[in-house]
Amino acid sequence: MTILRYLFYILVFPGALFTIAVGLFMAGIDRKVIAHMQKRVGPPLRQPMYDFFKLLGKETIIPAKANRAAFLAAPVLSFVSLCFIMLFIPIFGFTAINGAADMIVILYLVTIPGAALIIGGASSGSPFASIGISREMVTMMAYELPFVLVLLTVAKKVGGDQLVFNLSLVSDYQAVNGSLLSHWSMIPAALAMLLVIPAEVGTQPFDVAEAENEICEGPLVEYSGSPLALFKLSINMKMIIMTGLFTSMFLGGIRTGFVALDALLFVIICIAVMLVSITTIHAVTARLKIEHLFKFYWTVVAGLALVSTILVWIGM
Amino acid sequence: MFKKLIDKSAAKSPWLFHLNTGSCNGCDIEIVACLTPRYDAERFGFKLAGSPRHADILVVSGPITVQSRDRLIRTIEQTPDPKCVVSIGSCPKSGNVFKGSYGIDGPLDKYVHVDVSVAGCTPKPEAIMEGLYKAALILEKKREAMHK
Amino acid sequence: MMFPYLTTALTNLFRKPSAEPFPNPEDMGKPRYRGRISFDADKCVDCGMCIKVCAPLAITREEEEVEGGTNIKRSFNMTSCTFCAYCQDFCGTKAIQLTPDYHMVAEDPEDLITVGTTFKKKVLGKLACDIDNCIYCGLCMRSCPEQAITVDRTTKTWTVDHDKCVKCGMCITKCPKKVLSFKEAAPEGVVFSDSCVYCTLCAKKCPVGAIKVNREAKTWEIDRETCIKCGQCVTNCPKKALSMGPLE
Repeated sequence: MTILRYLFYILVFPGALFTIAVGLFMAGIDRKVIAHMQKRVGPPLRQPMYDFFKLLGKETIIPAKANRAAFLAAPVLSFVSLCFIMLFIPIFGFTAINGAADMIVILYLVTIPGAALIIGGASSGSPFASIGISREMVTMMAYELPFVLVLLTVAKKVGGDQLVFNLSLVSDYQAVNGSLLSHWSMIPAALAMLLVIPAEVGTQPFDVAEAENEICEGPLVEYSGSPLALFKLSINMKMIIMTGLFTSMFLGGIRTGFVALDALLFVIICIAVMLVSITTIHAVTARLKIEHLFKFYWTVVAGLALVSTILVWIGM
Repeated sequence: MFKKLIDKSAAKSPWLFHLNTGSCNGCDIEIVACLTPRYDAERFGFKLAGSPRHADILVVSGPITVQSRDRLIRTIEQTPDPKCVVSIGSCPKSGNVFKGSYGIDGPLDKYVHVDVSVAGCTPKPEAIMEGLYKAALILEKKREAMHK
Repeated sequence: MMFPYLTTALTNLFRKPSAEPFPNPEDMGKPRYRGRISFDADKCVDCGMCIKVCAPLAITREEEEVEGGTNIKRSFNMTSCTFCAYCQDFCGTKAIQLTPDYHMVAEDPEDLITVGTTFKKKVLGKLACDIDNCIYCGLCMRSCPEQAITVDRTTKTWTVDHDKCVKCGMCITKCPKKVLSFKEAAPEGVVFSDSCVYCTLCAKKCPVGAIKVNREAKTWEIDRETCIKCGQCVTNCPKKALSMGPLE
């Protein structure tokens, strides 16, 4: 019985199917809102779904110089790891897997898609891909520091002397004391998290690793067909996962009692967070160079997170 | 299981790769102008892809110069099926004023079957969008033919 | 980091997008836009000026002899055209027009070729000028596509090189005094004059028997079909009443 229940969690809600569906929907909203901000009519809301199915129908070409096993395994690795992260994120009171160290597991699981991109790029055998993967590695190093600082801040705030890494306990704390965003010492941490989200998802101005015409899409240059479909799907799934993490950590005080209603509210708040952090910045900026990106993350964003950490550590 | 959806999506999400084989850049500017807010090609799902391996429609401009001929052949081979080739302007079709020159090598027809030609020097962005739209419909037919 | 267009982006969310609706096939460009060529074959006089000025060699011409003249098929290849409109500017009869039609998208390249067939009647005769009324303005010289006419105002000469003339008739249209025309070459033959005394020497000397003279009735006839224009009658006439020259 428990096996069936966990299979349901993994495959349908809040696992693979929920993440895929909501992720594609959010990506569609993102593109439409960006288009309207730029005074255009954008693609229909179902466009990412059309993109995914079109890529499934294309021929898969594996270059002769590529390492076949790693080339085909990398997208599967990226997709599978993302299916599991949603299980740990509390959807306003409902958590599929309730563990004592949720945040640390999420931290590791979230770096796997980046690592899978690096593996995929390295196995392509193309010089464009090698430039792309070195940039992706630097990007990951850049945003991991503020991300860890934010997680530490939340853990300290919720737990007091004992650091609490359990996300459902974080959610319960917010149900009692109001959302963490209302405590003014957490606001710099929230800002830092909002700036980490675009780098994780890989949109402008932090998309220097991939999706650009300068190096022909970086690590993805030799991919085509179904592996490419899985990679693009991973990027879309990351949208709901990262904004979901933000919502559960900083805005998690709502309880309605019904799981379905909770999920709906969760998705709506995630969309709002996405509009603020991903869409607005994407619509008005160009791309940062890798040096500027690194400097930005390790000075401004890490500084904001550090301010919050110090404030929380001295007891406020 | 998803056959019909995959076939329909081939026409709804065509990704372009633009290849300039020695053009004067007039047609290139108009192709990029298709993505500006006034003509907005993105509402039909068109997107400029960075790599020919990601593309469905190869948009070719310029008379095929001798230097770019080998690169053109390699790019065409790198594009996965189903694919469409659209020639923009009069240069790929006949060489325009460069006909007979020592530096160019033949119309695009010599290397690949051209699905849609858009004539003009340079064609208006509306005409380019019409040509791309026609190519997207041809893509769906090619995708259905791939099942057999 | 600066976000210079942030307020614009946020206000644009509440404005109508400025994307034009996807155009329908009947939509045309602005009035003087140089689009697809339209060719009025009836106005064409086959002067060949358009082929001369076309830089990408997009205009081709094929002829076919039929009864009474030639059928000339002129095709304008849009896939080779630069749309410079030189053909429109140089066409003397305004048979070529560049319309504002910019929809030149085709899967089949045959759709992009404009074709027109002109029927050119056979022109018998050569260009001739009525020299007495000519004012030597030189308009015919300037409108000739092959530069076959030479007009000199100071020396008052008008000459035409018949080998270069393509018989398009542009000079005839442009002449302000209407003194030019295609004159059939006047046939030549034996010309009779009144100083004949009906001695019948010409009839005896004619090797084919084409001349008939009646002394009593004072008549002189010649069969033009049989006459071979040898000139024997002219040489032997004692009164020099016959000569070889153009008949009226």
